[in-house]
Amino acid sequence: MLDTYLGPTRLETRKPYSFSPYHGDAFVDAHREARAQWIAELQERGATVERFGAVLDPRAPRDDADRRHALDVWLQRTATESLATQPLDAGAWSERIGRAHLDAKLPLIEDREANWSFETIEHWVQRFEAFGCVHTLYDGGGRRVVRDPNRTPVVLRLSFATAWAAVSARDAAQCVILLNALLKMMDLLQAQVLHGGAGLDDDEASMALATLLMERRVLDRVSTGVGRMSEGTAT
Amino acid sequence: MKRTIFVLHPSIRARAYLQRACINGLKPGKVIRLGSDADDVASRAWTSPADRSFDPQESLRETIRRFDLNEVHVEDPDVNSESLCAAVRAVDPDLVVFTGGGVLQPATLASAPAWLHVHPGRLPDRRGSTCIHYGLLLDGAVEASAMIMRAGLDEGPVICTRRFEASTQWSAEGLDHVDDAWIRSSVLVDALAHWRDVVPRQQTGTPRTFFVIHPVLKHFALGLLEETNPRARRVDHLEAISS
Repeated sequence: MLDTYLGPTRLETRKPYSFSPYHGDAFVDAHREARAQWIAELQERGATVERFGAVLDPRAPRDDADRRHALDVWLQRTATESLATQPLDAGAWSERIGRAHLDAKLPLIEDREANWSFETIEHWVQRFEAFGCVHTLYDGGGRRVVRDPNRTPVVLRLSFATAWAAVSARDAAQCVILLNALLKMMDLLQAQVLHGGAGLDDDEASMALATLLMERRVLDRVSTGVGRMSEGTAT
Repeated sequence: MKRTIFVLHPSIRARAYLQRACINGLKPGKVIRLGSDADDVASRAWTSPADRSFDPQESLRETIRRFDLNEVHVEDPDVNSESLCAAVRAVDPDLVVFTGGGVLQPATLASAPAWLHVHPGRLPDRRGSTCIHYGLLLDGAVEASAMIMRAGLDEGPVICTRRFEASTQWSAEGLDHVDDAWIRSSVLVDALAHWRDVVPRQQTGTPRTFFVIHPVLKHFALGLLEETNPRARRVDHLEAISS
């Protein structure tokens, strides 16, 4: 059912989104089932949000304490479906994410502090939407060039950052813009994993799981009445 | 309206624009019809709007004949073709009504003093693609803005904006064509009637750009539309997704 959208060939141009008709209940059901299946597979191989752990980089902007707290609470609930406290260990993950960004030669997100700013994430979301794929850039002559042939980790990190931003979005419009991109990114990732044979290591699998759970929660917010969302509500 | 012209790219939107302008006494001085007759074919899905303000099954040629309009035909359907630019320059209009068909390039925009476009969103905070769906999703309504086009996406000064609450007369099946055409043509008639009397308002405030809506979000938007229609079946997709 989802092959129309997730087939690796068609994803290269992203035209399925440009020309998508109204697909109705069957499409949405298929989408839900495909995502649920992916979540189950990740959990089966041992991926956990607890393993992922630290999504709150200690270098995140200090003046965004409320949003950080809201995300903290949300992740605890997501991980445990309860209000039980989860230990947060920022060290290993922030180090890994930061180094990976440098490895991927993505200059606009080399700065670790910038990784946590809405403006940077929104900028990347616009690049993703406008260019079709996050790894597609333009050289000085305006030609499209591929900068990162191993794009799965890059898309995964961008997806996670986008999900994080969507969860803590400041208003409904921002939330929907981010969610729209997130859905496409996760489609792309799912296509790469299912059809392209892209492997995820254990840490990446945990990050994918956390991202999928965030996507589901944001979808829940939107579909239950985005117009009624209050400013700054993040849980 | 002698120096106002329409560039008609074959679509239900072009049909609605032309018919409703003429019916409201706003006949253009000339129309430039793009593409072949084969391009100007109606879909069976194009049903009439509830107020019967236009007939989606009436072709552009039929409307041109019915209102005895002065027509220039350009075979190339490309809205950025040199032949269209030449045709526009030859007419020397003061306003060109754009009926869609692609993104206008600067050279095309430069062929006339002003191109008028109706965008289905409030500006500047609903720029970009598929804003009719985003409007429903975020506001439960659609706002459409008539603006003078600029090279940047939806950046032009605004002539008028009108808000349309989600109507029981709209449908999920018709929103993309007949309802969209009805909404935009309603604003077009307002704009054509008054554009000489108003100074277009430069856009101020924080712009927001939306991109092609994902089918799942589109489904939610159309679900909200159905929610306003007591005759329509309401399915809570979210409950399914989050279960």
